[in-house]
Order: sequence, then C-alpha cells, then structure tokens
Amino acid sequence: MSEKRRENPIKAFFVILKDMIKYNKGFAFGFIFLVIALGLTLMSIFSPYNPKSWNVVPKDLPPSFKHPLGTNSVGQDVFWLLTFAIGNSFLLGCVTAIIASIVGTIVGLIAGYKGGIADRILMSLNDTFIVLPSLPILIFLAFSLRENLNMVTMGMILSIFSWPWGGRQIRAMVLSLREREFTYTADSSGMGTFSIVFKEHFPFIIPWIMANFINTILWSIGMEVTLAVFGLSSLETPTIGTMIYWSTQYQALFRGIWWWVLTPVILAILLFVSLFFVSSGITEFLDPRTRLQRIKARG
Amino acid sequence: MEERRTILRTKNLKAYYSFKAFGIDRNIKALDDVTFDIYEKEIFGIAGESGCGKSTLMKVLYGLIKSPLRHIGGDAIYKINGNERSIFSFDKETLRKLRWSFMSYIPQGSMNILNPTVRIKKQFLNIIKAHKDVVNVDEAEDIAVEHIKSLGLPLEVLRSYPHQLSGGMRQRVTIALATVLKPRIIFGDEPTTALDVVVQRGVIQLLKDIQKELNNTVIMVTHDMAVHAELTDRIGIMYAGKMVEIASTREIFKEPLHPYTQYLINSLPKIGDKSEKVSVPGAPPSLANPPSGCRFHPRCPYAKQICKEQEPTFEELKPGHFVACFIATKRGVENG
Amino acid sequence: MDKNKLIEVKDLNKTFIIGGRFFGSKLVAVNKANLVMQQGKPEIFTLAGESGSGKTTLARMILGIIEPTSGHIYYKGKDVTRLRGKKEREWFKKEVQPIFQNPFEAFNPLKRVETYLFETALNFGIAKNKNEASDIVDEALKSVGLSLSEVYQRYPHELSGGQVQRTCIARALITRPSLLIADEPVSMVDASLRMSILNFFHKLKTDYGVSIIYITHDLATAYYVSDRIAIMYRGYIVELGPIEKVLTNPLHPYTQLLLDSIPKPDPDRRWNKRIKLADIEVKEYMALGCKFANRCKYATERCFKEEPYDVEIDGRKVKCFLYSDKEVSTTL
Repeated sequence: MSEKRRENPIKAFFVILKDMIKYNKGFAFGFIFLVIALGLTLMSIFSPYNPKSWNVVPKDLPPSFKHPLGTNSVGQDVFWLLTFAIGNSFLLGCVTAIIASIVGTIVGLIAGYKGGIADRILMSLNDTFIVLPSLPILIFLAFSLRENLNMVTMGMILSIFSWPWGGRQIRAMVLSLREREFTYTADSSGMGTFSIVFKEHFPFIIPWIMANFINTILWSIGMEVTLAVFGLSSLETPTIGTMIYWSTQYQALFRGIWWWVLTPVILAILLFVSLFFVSSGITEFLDPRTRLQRIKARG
Repeated sequence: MEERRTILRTKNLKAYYSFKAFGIDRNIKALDDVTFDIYEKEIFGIAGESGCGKSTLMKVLYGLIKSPLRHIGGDAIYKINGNERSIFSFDKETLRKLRWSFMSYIPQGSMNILNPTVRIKKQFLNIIKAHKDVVNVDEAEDIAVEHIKSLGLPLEVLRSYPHQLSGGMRQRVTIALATVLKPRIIFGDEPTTALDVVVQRGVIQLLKDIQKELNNTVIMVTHDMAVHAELTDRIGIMYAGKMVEIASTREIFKEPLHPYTQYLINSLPKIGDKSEKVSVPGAPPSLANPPSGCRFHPRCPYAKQICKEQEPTFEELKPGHFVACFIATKRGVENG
Repeated sequence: MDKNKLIEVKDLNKTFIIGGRFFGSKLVAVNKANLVMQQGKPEIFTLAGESGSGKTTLARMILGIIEPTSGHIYYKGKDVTRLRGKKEREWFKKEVQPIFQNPFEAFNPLKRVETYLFETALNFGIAKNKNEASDIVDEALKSVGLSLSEVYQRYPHELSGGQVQRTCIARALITRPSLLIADEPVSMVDASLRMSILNFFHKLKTDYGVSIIYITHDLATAYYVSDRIAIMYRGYIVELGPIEKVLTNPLHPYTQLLLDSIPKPDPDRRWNKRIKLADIEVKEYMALGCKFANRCKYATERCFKEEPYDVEIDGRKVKCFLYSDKEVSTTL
C-alpha cells in the first residue's frame, strides 16, 4: 500500500492558505493587513531614531515625504514610532495568548478527562477567576507595579484573567467528545488515553484553541489600550495604547495634530478587524463540520 | 368504486441540492423527474432508503425550498377549493396561510414544531387565531379543547410545557396541533420513527382515526415498510431520487413488479418465519453522479443492456400500478 | 467460578443519580440482571426492550464502559468488574468487542476508516508491523465481504452505511473475540442492506464460533437471527428464554403487549384491536412492585406492592406473579 494521498504538509499549508485567500474575502483582507503589520514591525530594526528618546526631530510637523506620518509634540517621528508600537502590542498580545492558551488548555483537559475531585477543584478556581471583576483589579495591579511594567509582565498579568474562558470551553468539549461513540471504538482498538486525546480529540479541539488564541490577542491589546488611556501602562514603551495616551496628554486633537491621534486609532481598528477576520476564517476552515463538508464536496 | 379525485399532481418534478464550497461545485440530484397523482381521502405512503429523495420530495411539496435546495423543473399542482394552483406560484404570505389550514406537517422530532418555552394551550391558540376569524380567546380555546377531547388525549396536556410530556405524548400533541384546523392534506415525515413500538402503535392509530374523521389526505413518508403495511392505502417506492413503483399497498406487498421493491419486500423479517432473507447486492448510488440508464441497474440481478443505456419510463402496467422498469414491463407483456 | 460459562452476569445493578448530588433522584437503570452464556456453545443472545429499558446500560456494563453500582460480571470465570492492570484489561478488550448503533458515529468523521483497523491490529500485538497489519486487516475485511482496497484512505461518509457498519464489524473481528456486543447494529442501516449484516452474524456464530449479544428494539430481526432472548422493561429482565418460545408464545404480559404492537409487514393482517397508551411514563421507575402493573390488564393488588421474582416455566424465566403459583401456570 502506498501512501498516495499523504501530501507534503508545507505544500498543503500553502495550498490551503491560497484557497482561503481566494474564497474568503474577510480572511484575505485580514491576512494581508497582518502581513503588512508584521512587515512594519520588522522595519523598526532600521529605525533611525530610538523610540524612547524625545526631541530627535522637529515638533508637530504634518505628514511629508521626510516624515510620512508627521511628527508629534515631543519630537518623535510618528511613522517610526508606529513600527515599534505594533511590535510591542503584538508582543503583549502573544505573551498573554500563549500563557492563557497553555494554562487554559491544560486545565480544561485535566478537568475534562480526570473528572471527579480534580474537575471540581479546577473548575471552581476557573469560575472564581471568571467572576472576579477584571478591570478594577488590573488597574490596581498596574498601579502598584508601575515601575516594573514591561510588555512581558503586563502580558502575564493580563493572562491571569483570560485563561479561564478557554479552560471552560475545552473542558466542555472534552466532556462531549468523551461520550462520542468513536471514542469507545478507539478504546476497543487498544488505543491508550494519550493517543485517544491526541489522535482522536485534538482535531476537534485545535480550532477552538486557535480561535481562542487570536481572540485573546485581541482582548489583551484592547485591554492595554484601556489601561494606557488611564496612564497605567508602561508609558515609555511605545504601544498602540501609550501612543493614544501621549497624544491625548498633549491634547493633539484640539491642537489640530490629527496625524498623531488618528494613526494609533486607525491602526487599532484595522488590527482588531483583521484579527477578527483571520480568527473566524481559521475557525471556519478548521471547524469539523465545514471540514466535513469540504471533504464531501471534493467527493 | 367511487370516483377518485386528485388533490395533488406532480409532473416531472426536479429539485437539486447545489453546494459551493471552496471552489467546488456539486449538484445532488435528490429529486429527478418525479410524476405522480395523489387522490383525495387516501393515505399515500412514500417509502425508500435514506438518501432516496423522499424527504426532499416532502420539502418541495410543502413549499419549504431554500438554499442549497433548488427547484430545477417540473411542477406540483394542488387543487384548492376546486382551483388548480402550482406550489411554486404562491408567495410567502399565501404559503403561510395555507400551512396549518390547508396542509400541515408532522416532522420526526416534535420539538421542531413545538416551542419549548410556551405552554401547549398557548401554541394551539396562536395557530387558531392566526388562521381563523375567531371573536375571542374563549372561542379559540373551545376549538382546542374540543379537538384534544375528540382525539382522546388528556386535557391536562394543554396546561403543560412540551418538555413535561413524554416523547410519545409530545408526538400525539404535535399531531393534534397539525390537525386542529382540519387540513385537507397532512404530511408526515417519519412521524413514528423515533418512537417505541407500543407508542408507535398508538400514534398510527391516532393518524388513522384523524384521517377517517376529517376525510382528508395523508402523505406518509417512512422507511419502515411494516408501518406502511399497517397504515397506507397506496405506496410509492423511491430509489435514488426517482419514483420506481406506485401501487396499492396490497399489490406492493403481494405482487411487487420492480426488482428493487421485490428485494425490499422479500427481505423483511417476520416473526414466525426463519427462512433466509437476502439483501439487495451492492450499495445505493451517489446522487451527485447517478448511474446511467435505470439507476438501479448496477444492483439489479436482471439488468440487461437496455437498462444501462436508457432510462425506463414510468408506466401504468396494470390499472393503478405504475412501474419504471424495462424488465417488469416486458415480463408483464409476456405473462399476458 | 464455573469455567464453562463464557459470561455470567450476576445480580447486576446500575443506579444513576439524576440532578444534583444531594437533591437528585435515583433512577435504577438496570435492576438485578442475571444472565449466563455457555462457553463452547456459541449463540446469539438478544437483549430487547424499548428505550429506557436499560438494555444499552446493561450492554455497556458488560463492555466495561459503565461501572456497575453493584453485582458481578464473570467472563470466562474472571470477575471483569474488578480487572486490575493493563494486561488484564487488554485481555478483556481482545476477548469482548463492541459494535455500535450508528456506523457514522463509531468512526471519527475526520479520520480515514482503515486507521482504526490498523490501530487494532498493531495495538493488541496481532501484527508486528504495518505490512503484517495490512494483511490481517485485509483478511478481516474480506470476511465481511469488503477488501482493504475498497475502504483504503476513505472517510466514513464516502462509504454507505452498510459498508461502514461492515468495516466496524471487521475491526471488531481482528482481535478474534469470543464475544461481540452489538448495540442496535442494523437500526441505522438501510433496509436493503440490513439482512446481509444479520446473515453475517449468523455466519460468525456457526463458522467462527463467536457468541453475540444483540441489543435491539426490533423483535422481527431478533427472531430472524438469535437463539435466546431477554425482554427488558424499566431495568428488569421480565422474560428470558429461547427465541421461538418467547416470541411465538409470550408469557409475560409486557412481552405480549410488545409483540402485539409490532406493525406486521402484511397489509392483510392489520390490527383490529385498539390499545390505550399510558399518559405518564416516568412514574413507573418509582413504582413499588412490578413496574408494568399500571399498564397490565392482569394486575392484582399484590403486583403493586411486591416485586415479582423469576419463575421458571416452560424452559424460560418469567418475572410475573401470574406464574408464581404452580397451579395457575399449569392451567395457562
């Protein structure tokens, strides 16, 4: 028997990517914007200015050939500042999402498969974090840690409040997957718990983890903006949130320096929309039901 | 024999499911060239395996066509108060009015019709008020109570929520709801399938009673041949999107003409009969890419060359007995 | 324990708690079930009953998927409710294999069907490598009238219900089990293919010496294929005996009602009597005494108060007071 239908996974990935860009307009938009955003982040390496120093360029210049997005009131180039801001916001989102996904997935899997006492302890912990009012606590934490805040510590703090959602979802999925008949078939086929979890159940769980991952990035970037507006972020680090903070501090909007305010705001909106489209595109693609339909359509 | 008047005629009815997903187009020919008449005051059964198109037929006849199901061709004509009207000529509002009052639908799972958050009584009143010019609530309530009583169901059900009733009672309430406005046609889509045998018997009994009392037409779709034997007057056998045989229930069971029907009838297990039964060889075809000629030919033990090349026409071989099969029609001729 | 018994189910109980841990109510799904199948005398044993009768719960307890509340299951003399260690469990899984109701649910819809057959062959050490496994898998598939090339690299939905169900059976046969537990194996299979599967069960019994516990609500197929039958009602086995006797001359009033309610595939033999349906069904679980008493036309006061016990009569066991009195039974 030859493995005739096993494709090269890297090639398959690009085929799928091409298909999705071709048939899902939202995904195409989101994907292209994220690629551009990533490109901007990489460009920050070539930045002629240090993002933390002030007064390196003339103040309050409108967009021009030399300064594509103008300069701000503290003497920074908005375009180069932006390249750092995207990178830092991404870093924050990814730190939060990685920690939250790992913790949430592990907790969900253990609670779902072990059941009994473990389930009850983990889920009451989970529920406690869900009912805790996150914003006041975050404000308090950010306030008390102000000196030591950077993107990594901030991400860690935010992840405290985002893991329980994923954890609950995964537990619920495991509970229903465990009762499916194919799980019993796998068990009678002599597959151990470990291979049942990874070979049988993961294809159903992974789309959720991925969607949840992107949603957590979204939530965490949004949360940072909220905290930054209160002045509770790492203010010397350029992020989408701190850019908005400084521009409002200097009343940029009233003084007509619109390029300073609008840049981070539009970027935030575009980023949110793109992440949302990409996440729903991936979920739709990986969702077992549409996957089945697609397999069926190929005949 | 009294003159039989048709209430529903279908002519070359075609409906396909079309799928478009990630650049792949596919047409599932769920219903292909189906022609038959249904008479007033009869119980007409439609039998066939899963995926033979019987549920699609029901959807088309009840005006429930929505994407991905598409009407491709042919017609289904109802006789409503003496006027012949095509189901495809109705707008949404007319269809809404016709449903419940002229025709009603009993699905397999009663929860599709019953609203779980509303008491049964309220659901009866809503339907009565939506279709009848009743002066007040009391009048509508009287109609509901009278109907429940006449079907021999306990009056307490009116006060209950759907989930408080057992599965069998829920199905009987659904039937009561579907018949409260005395419709001329009742469609049943596997209405007894998920029920236990004792309850199933009660539901069949109820359907029979209602048909006798309202003197209307029941179109009953089920894969269970025994239910057909118990309930129906005539049966249409469907295979792979086509109607292959229509005859009186007795003739279908005693003298089936189509080879597929013969297999279906002969393979039915019976208590007290241990003789060996055989299945139809092969597997049902894909409706996306059905076989040429007669769609049954790859599984048919009598298949000849012509069966592969041409589609058999649906012919009336004996009075009231239609069949689409080259072998049967020829054999019929030989036997006289 | 008696080594001659293939399987012995002894006083098996399963109680589910519905609702909360403290305020929930109890539901006795299986109540003191007893049954024995002999070794070296393969048979097809039917567990029949309506939904909620406990037939699936009983079958799943035998399979080890559900843990019994009390009672024992002895398989080849070993108490399998108390299996210890990987080795013992693996032995039992090899010996007793399941076949499920919905063939499309029994295989992961996202995986190609043959993976389970290969897993079975490799995990139980029946094949040492992939090449050996594919021979074994092919042989198993051939025994059910398929071949590896027919199902290779196919997803469940690409095959017909009958084909998938036969693949399920082929998978179960790879371990060469002595007992198959088939839960409604043909109820989701099209009528035109149903008999081929039942005929295959018969062949398994006669040619391969495999015993089968066939769980169904369809008494006509049970009659066609099996040797003995147990009728279950609300957790109790109410009648147990040879199929011919139970289904052509039922003794328990419930069996009689059940048989009478089956629609017969013969338009000349329609029902002429009417039946009355129970309006409320859940309460019977709570009822003292015989659970069927409410619906039974022979019910006496005793039936409502006392739980009936098994009476051996005419080669079968019947749980009904009608036959507890020898004199009554002889006149019947």
